[in-house]
Amino acid sequence: MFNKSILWIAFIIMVAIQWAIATGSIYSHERILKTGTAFKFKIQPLDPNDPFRGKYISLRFALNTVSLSNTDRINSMNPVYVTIEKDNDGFAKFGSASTKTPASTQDYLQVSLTYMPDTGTRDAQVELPFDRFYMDEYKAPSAEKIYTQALLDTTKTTYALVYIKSGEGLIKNVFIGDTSIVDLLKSQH
Amino acid sequence: MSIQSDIQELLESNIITQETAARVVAYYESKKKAAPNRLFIVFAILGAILVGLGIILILAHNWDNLSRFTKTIFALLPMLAGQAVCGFTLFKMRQSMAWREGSAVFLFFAVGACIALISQIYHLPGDIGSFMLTWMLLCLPLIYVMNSSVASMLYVIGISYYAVYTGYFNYPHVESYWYWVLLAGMLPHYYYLYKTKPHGNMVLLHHWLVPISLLICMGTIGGKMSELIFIIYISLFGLYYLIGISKPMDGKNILLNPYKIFGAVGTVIILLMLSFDWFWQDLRLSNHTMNDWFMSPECIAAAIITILACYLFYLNYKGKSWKDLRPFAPVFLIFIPIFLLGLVSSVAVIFINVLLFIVGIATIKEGARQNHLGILNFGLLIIAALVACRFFDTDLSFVLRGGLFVLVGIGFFAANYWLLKRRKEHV
Repeated sequence: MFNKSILWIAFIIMVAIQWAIATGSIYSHERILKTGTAFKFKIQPLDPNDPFRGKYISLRFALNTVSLSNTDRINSMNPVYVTIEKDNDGFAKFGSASTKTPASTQDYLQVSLTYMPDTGTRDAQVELPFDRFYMDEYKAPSAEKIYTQALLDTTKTTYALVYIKSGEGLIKNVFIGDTSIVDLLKSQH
Repeated sequence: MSIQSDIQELLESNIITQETAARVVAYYESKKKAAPNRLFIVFAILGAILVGLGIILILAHNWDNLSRFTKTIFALLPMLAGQAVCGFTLFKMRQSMAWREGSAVFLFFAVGACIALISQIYHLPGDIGSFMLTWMLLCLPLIYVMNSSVASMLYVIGISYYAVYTGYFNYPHVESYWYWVLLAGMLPHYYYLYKTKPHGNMVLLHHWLVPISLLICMGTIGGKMSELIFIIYISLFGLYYLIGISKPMDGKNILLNPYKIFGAVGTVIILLMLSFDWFWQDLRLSNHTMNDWFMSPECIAAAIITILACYLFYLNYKGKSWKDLRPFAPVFLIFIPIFLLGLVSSVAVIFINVLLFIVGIATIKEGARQNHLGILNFGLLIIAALVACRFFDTDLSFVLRGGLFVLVGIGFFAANYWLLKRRKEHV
């Protein structure tokens, strides 16, 4: 179809683009984990019959409501930026919310609006940009039991350790008490 | 080889000479030699697919025990290996179809695995739409660099999945316009295949895959003006049929001409759906303005497809008589004015039923003309389906409905008997 030189040039360009996308993605996410700020997000109990979908733990967070100012014009396609602070127990809490990017000195997340009441209150439901923790599918059934029991146990707090930078957040691990779920599984086998 | 016994019989009956018999045997021997190469190609492709999937499964089993750095290396390794194999193929084995297809398929899956593994390592939220879009965009050049038809088919399946997920299942609804750009990206390869190997297996598979993909994904255009989707589909089926009866495609075994099958069957299905009054009642009740109609994406899509179909109609019938018209060729042209009439009048549904009846009769006549039992029976099936639909639709008495079915049944027997008798007379 094409002569050899053109094919080789096209091949090199194709390989370069594939590597650029792959390594670019790795670099941007590593940057968040290395230089971002760590926050602990409390996890809410899920339907105990199906916390697992496929090969990951589906996470639902206690933080899901923000108050928007009256000057913010919102529709479901607008991104919403929420500042993240720490409460007295060291867990993450929402600060202020806006449709404009906060000052660069503040830690904030870009979230999606899932529900906005038509009238009255400006409290909106939002979805955090992280909702799953991947696990080995063969260890999943055991992890499911531990995770479900932990969510119902009020003496332990189940939370996700999330690193935040420039509006993006990445989950590093899920903890039950102070032990990661992966380590708990290893200790039980 | 069964041909040997046939040749012996022909020799004994003095139908062919000894020399002709030797040439026939030599021809079939040469075909047999080509077969193992084809088998090797098939196994090479299957092998590449299985190797790619196997590597993913092995890595997944030990995943939790690895550090993030190690996981990242393993995520990139299959892609590196695939690129190395493709590079080697380009350098040394460019003429080998097995190597080109095998290495292209391996790299195709390796790229997908790499993106998926990176998502797993960093626990990224699952947006299948953007994952498929990125994967397909990265693999589009593979089709041309490796001249790989299997990669092209996998690509069509991938972009169709993307369009279906984004257009039908995503909430809130997001337009899947990227699908059309991505589809256009592989069309030059399809055209090249068609021009260089018009009777090959790969081009035949593309003849099936591309129309099916278009058929499924065309509905993602549907939005507020969903009534126009019927014009889109009727024109699309008209376009398919006209492609099917165009010179290069016509005359082939029906299974080798999917455009003709889709065009004919699809047109009948749409007309049968619209032969019921419910659609036309809803159409008259819709309160869309002229601006709503003409500025909608559905209207633009309908216009583009109809113009393409009209152009093909002109090419097929330029300088020919109206008697040369095939049954399904002009249906899309007739449908549009009926649709417009249906906006204001309840008589449109009658026209649709009459159109369907005429198409059925014309198909029977076409079957008789071509001496083709399949086309003849297809025409009878159209009439039977129309009668069956009216059976459920109207308030006719059971006696009358029963009588209609008996008439259609007699028609089936009579038409088939007449055609078979005519064949025997001509033999």
